[in-house]
Amino acid sequence: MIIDELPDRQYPVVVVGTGFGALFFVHKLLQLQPATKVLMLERGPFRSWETQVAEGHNSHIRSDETFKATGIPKFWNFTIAYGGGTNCWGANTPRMHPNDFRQGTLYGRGQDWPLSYDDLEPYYSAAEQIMDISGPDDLHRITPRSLPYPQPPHRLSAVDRIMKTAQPDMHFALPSARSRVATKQRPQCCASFDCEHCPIGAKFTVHNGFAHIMDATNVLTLVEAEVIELERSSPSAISGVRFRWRGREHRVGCDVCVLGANAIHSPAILLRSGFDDPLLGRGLNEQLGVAVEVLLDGLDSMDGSTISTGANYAFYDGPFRAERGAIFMVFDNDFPYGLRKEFGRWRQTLSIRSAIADELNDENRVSVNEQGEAVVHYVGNSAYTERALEHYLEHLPQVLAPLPVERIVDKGLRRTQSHVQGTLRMGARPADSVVDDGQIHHHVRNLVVVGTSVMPTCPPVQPSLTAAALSLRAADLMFGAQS
Amino acid sequence: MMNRRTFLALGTAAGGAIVLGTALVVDGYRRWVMSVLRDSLPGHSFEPASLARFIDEYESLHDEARKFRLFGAAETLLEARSLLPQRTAERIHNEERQVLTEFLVGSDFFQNRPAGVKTITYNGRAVVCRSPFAVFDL
Ligand SMILES: Cc1cc2nc3c(=O)[nH]c(=O)nc-3n(C[C@H](O)[C@H](O)[C@H](O)COP(=O)(O)OP(=O)(O)OC[C@H]3O[C@@H](n4cnc5c(N)ncnc54)[C@H](O)[C@@H]3O)c2cc1C
Ligand code: SF4
Repeated sequence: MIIDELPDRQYPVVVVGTGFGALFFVHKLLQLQPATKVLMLERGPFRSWETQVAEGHNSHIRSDETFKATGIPKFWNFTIAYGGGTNCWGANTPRMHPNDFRQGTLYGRGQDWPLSYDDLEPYYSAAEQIMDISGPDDLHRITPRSLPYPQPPHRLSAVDRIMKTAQPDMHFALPSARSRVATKQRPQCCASFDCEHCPIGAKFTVHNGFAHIMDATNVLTLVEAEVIELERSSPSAISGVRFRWRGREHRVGCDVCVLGANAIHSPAILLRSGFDDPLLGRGLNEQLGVAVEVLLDGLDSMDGSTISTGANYAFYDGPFRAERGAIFMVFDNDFPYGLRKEFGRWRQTLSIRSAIADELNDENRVSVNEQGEAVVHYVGNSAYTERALEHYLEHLPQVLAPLPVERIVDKGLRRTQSHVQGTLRMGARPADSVVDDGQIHHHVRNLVVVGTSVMPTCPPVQPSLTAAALSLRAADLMFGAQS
Repeated sequence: MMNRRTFLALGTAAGGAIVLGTALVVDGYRRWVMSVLRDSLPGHSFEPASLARFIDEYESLHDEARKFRLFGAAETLLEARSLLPQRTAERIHNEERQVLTEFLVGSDFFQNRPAGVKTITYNGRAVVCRSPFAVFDL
């Protein structure tokens, strides 16, 4: 329930933020303990989907207005509004590769995650059910699964069909939370190509997917309430949360605090609260995005059923990851560069957007300045990523050999992948991480961190399904039978 | 020294040049858009009122279009393309593709045009279910 007045003074659970990490945690908590009173504090406004579509933006607060920046200029894209990234996201939902969880051991690059793919698998499946994900069951060959996808895969484009025939173990329909078939909450995706503000509401968002959280009378949400800091009653316990609402500061007490304010603002809140973990705020990252247009010779494509239809794993996993980053390739079914000008050859073009894993650098970090504002320091992506980029551009023609390629046009680097990750990484020990495998702070045991800030490495795939699954697991570990 | 009469005369001439220049630029842009469509769609004609609507809509919705106004004028007036550096020529090519795309996906070109009709009618900006090529069969 969205409230318009100050909440009570004490709650069993106070949640900071209402994005992916926060919502999936609360969803699981309500399954396990339906009557628990929860307060969610959200910095941004509540904006109905209709308003977002009509105004053409998810929030009037621009992400880059919420922090200062030094070093190499870089755009970090996120939504400050009720629902966080569930509003703006493109709804691509691949799972991480099992080897992404053991990158340190297998390739000597970065650290292992403190949990395995198998530990997360049931929660991946659960998150996919919640979001009614569409996907191909043969993707099982790369990312094994215990349940079939809830929705059939999107229809492949002509390009994808050729790639699939030639590379059956590498090319798949891209899993997504854009409906393949209509559900009670969402119509079928009809290829409108403006997923940030989907005009028909075909992708999963907080509005169509978590109405039960919005409606629950024991889950109160105060919007435009910016959390400033967490209060500690002892070195090992959070006692309350301080927030700014309508120009004044307020406090609310809690037994458990769930921090899900994204990978820039969650560390800023902890820094303002006097936390001094060695890796706090460090390792801010996202993948390096690179775009190409492939001009096709005589092949009419774009006959798939959604904006992006193919996922290619040719550059994803192998011993090469000791030297250069993994790459996840997304084959689009739209025309971001326009149709071709040559008469009749309108759709003989293919856009491929690839994401290259970065290696965490502790110098890419978040701090707070004297005014308490978040400050992002960015020194750039790693040589590991650059090597992968070079290899990719050189070897892409080989991967695309099954297609009648006329020319590959390098469209350059993307200014952002819109994935803000790292900064409160999870791990086995306080020396190499901030939270443990249950996402509980190593020392402050009633503080759970959720969302993409806990990711200890930068896999090449989109992170939100993983953040969702991690939250389901964290809530299960904390409130479920195993707790 | 410039006397008042010369000053006024110069002022009037400059003002006139600006008005004329603006008219040429606006008109030049329209002609440029039309030439892009005509070159890309040989053998077709355009329903005039809907074409005018397309140009207005396109120009108001795309920041890039405003930057192209001047070029549009120059191109049609001076046939300037061959003199341009490669990057600029590429930008223009990309913009031409965008113009053509917005026109075609918002028109009856791919869908709902009676067979044999060579006049293309623009129906308005395609927002919902934008792709004329998508197939949804399961
Ligand atoms: C354009 C775009 C496209 C994307 N496409 C995809 C995609 O296809 N697939 C994918 O997996 N991911 C995608 N993402 C990324 C996805 O949105 C994020 O990975 C995801 O939202 C991260 O979840 P989170 O819980 O960490 O943070 P968020 O979802 O960002 O939630 C953080 C919440 O905390 C709130 N908050 C911040 N500071 C405070 C404060 N001080 N007090 C109170 N509240 C606060 C924010 O307003 C927000 O509601 C996309 C993102 C964008 C912007
Ligand atoms: S492709 Fe279109 S219909 Fe589908 S989710 Fe995106 S905007 Fe909506």
